[in-house]
Amino acid sequence: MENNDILQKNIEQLIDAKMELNYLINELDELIDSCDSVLNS
Amino acid sequence: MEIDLKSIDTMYRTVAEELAGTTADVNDLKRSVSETKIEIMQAIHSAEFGTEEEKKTALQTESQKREKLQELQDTMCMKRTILEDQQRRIDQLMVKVIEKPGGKEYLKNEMEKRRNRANSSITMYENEKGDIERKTNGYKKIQDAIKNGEFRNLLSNYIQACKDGNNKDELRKQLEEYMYNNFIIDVDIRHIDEIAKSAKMTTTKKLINGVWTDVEEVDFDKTFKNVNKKLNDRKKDLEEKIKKAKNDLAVVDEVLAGIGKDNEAPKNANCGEKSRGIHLIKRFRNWIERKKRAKMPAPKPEQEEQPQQAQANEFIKSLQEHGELAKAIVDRKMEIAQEAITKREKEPKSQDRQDAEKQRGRRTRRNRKEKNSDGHGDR
Repeated sequence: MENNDILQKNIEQLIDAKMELNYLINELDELIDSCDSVLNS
Repeated sequence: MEIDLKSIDTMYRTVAEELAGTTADVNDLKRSVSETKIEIMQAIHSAEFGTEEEKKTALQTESQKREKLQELQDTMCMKRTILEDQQRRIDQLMVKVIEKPGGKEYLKNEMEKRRNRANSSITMYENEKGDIERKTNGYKKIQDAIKNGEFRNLLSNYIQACKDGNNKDELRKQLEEYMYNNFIIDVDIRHIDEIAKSAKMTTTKKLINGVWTDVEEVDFDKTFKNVNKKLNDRKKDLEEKIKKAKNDLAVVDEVLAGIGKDNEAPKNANCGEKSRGIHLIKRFRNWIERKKRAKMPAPKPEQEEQPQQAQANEFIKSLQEHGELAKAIVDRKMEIAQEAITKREKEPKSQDRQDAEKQRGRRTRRNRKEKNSDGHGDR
């Protein structure tokens, strides 16, 4: 595999991971907040 | 230090493996949180409307479930810190990648591609969501219209014809004519066709020409339950996809904003600067500790401290502005108090006041005596 191809692949993978992580963190934030609303009721 | 692309790939794989596990964990947590919340709600309901015995059990269950929810929340906070750590590692790898010749350009191009992809996905999903909402309203109108027995029969016959193909066109014509003559103008025949595709049938016995005959009819209750459930599920699915696409757009914006400036790492989409990420982890860790000691609301990670700081500054400023006034008020109060004391000292003592002072003196002496006898007083 050429260096450019590897670079391209690396970038795609990293972006996928970053997007997934960001999504999961936001999901957790929502869940944590929703627990708060029940626990404080 | 220079790092080769294969090493970056290897490092990425480590994070990706961990990430796969964490995604599964988050999905499990999501399910558990949802189940526990339902159980709490059920317990609250039983505690309110159940018998005495049921109330007692429900209160116990509620308390246990609350504890469980608390534990789940703590686990989620922990997971969040792990995810933030993974995010930091991914950011570091990204920095390494864009340091490579042509890396920055590749990243920019890829990000633009992702932006276009996310935008077209959002448009597509929003359109489908709009269709679903129109269908849901259309089905509601049909549900209202079938309260009319004659329409119900015609519709049932037509749906049946759609299934077996017999006399379909004729029955469709009859149905449309009936709708037109009876001003059922808000029901869309296309929605009826949609319902016909997923209609649930039932067999009932009917007296036809003096003979009990098995007749197949549309089970409207089951049919609407079925179609509405399908629509709701798809709507939820689309909402989730829209949320994900919007989340991707946010990441694109953050990364592009980060690489726009020379020699700067792509910013963490969630936490902005890395220091803020660490600050949040610390906040969450502290919060978990505090939670163990006392029940407190969770700090929101996206919540900025700025408004609070601004409020505090505003308050200090107003204090400073009103400082002179406050000082003047306090001085005046002191003056009034001093005047009152002087006036009182000048006035002849009334019998009541003299008695009260004597009483006070006796009490003070007695207290001192008691303290001395306990060994606590002055020696």
